[in-house]
Amino acid sequence: MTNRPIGPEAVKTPLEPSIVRRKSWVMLIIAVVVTLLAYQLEHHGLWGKLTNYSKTPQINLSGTHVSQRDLSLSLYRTGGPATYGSFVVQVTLKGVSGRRPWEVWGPKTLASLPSSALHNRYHFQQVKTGPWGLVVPLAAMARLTLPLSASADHKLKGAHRAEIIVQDVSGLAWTTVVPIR
Amino acid sequence: MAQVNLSSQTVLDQSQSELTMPLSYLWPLRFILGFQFFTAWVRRYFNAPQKLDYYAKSNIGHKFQSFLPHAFGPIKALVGYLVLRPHLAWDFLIVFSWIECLVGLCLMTGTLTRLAALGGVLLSFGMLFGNGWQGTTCIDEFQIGTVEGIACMVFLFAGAGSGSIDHWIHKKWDGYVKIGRWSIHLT
Repeated sequence: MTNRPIGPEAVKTPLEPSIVRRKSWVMLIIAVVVTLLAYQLEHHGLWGKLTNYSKTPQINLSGTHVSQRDLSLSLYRTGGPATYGSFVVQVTLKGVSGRRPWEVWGPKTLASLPSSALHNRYHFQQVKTGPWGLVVPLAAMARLTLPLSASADHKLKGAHRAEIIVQDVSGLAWTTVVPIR
Repeated sequence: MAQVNLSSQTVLDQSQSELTMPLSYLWPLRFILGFQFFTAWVRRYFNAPQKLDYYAKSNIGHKFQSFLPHAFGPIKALVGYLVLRPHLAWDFLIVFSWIECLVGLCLMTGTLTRLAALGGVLLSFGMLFGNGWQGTTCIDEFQIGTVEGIACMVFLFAGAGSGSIDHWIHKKWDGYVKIGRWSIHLT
């Protein structure tokens, strides 16, 4: 560092042009690095496909598993507007190659889900039942336990894997394939 | 001959002042920058107090949690740690709000400008790497975070200029604080 005088006279000393120039370069480099880093990380603005995570709802189903007795469905909403929900109105369980579903939980079933079957991980943003299915706000993470009927349980017996489809009221759907425990 | 000398002297003065003087022109930018931080606090404490009601449906904890899915590394770890401890998260958000209030007031008035600007840089870049991925119709949170953070950085390096309380403080005190071997410029 330079030996600037300490005390009120320090303020009156004009800045060296070379110091101003050097500081400007430092500022420019920090500004460019921070901006480009954030641009690439958050929107893939420099390479890859330009992304806006806030545009449409996205629900991640990883952590979901199926047993002979029930479907343990893990929901984590990772995208879409921060101010408004995603509305899940149907959950389907089917075989990987089959066309006919083994079990379907519709809006009224999901809406009347008891609180004992719905476990939220976080305190603030939570998955809640609404009049027509589930309201899933941004960043909410929850595990739902959906019991299987006797007939679905019977169909599950020969299979090793199951496909789970979660549908938003808009028609958006998210799918995962999991082994049957 | 004398005239030529005079004009070259003027050109030199001009280039000197271009390097060192235009700080005072940044007054409007500093004022509006401070206004943005200060009104974040005003909205929570006056316009929409339900934002600070722990039991309200849409308090700032909800907004804070929504950073989680795509926040950047260290900020994601911090948000993830805090939202699992909601009372601690709440304390954090109250402290954050009051820092916004102080940073805003200090930038608007130009009081301890460099210290306030450091606060502004940390708040802005913290937000940038927390919710910079949000914004539904355009990438506005990214734009807010970068522009406010970098504007604060300029005041961190340059200080306030003439339209400020610091300008008056400088008549009595140069604004340096010595801590050990470091001499830190606060004004």
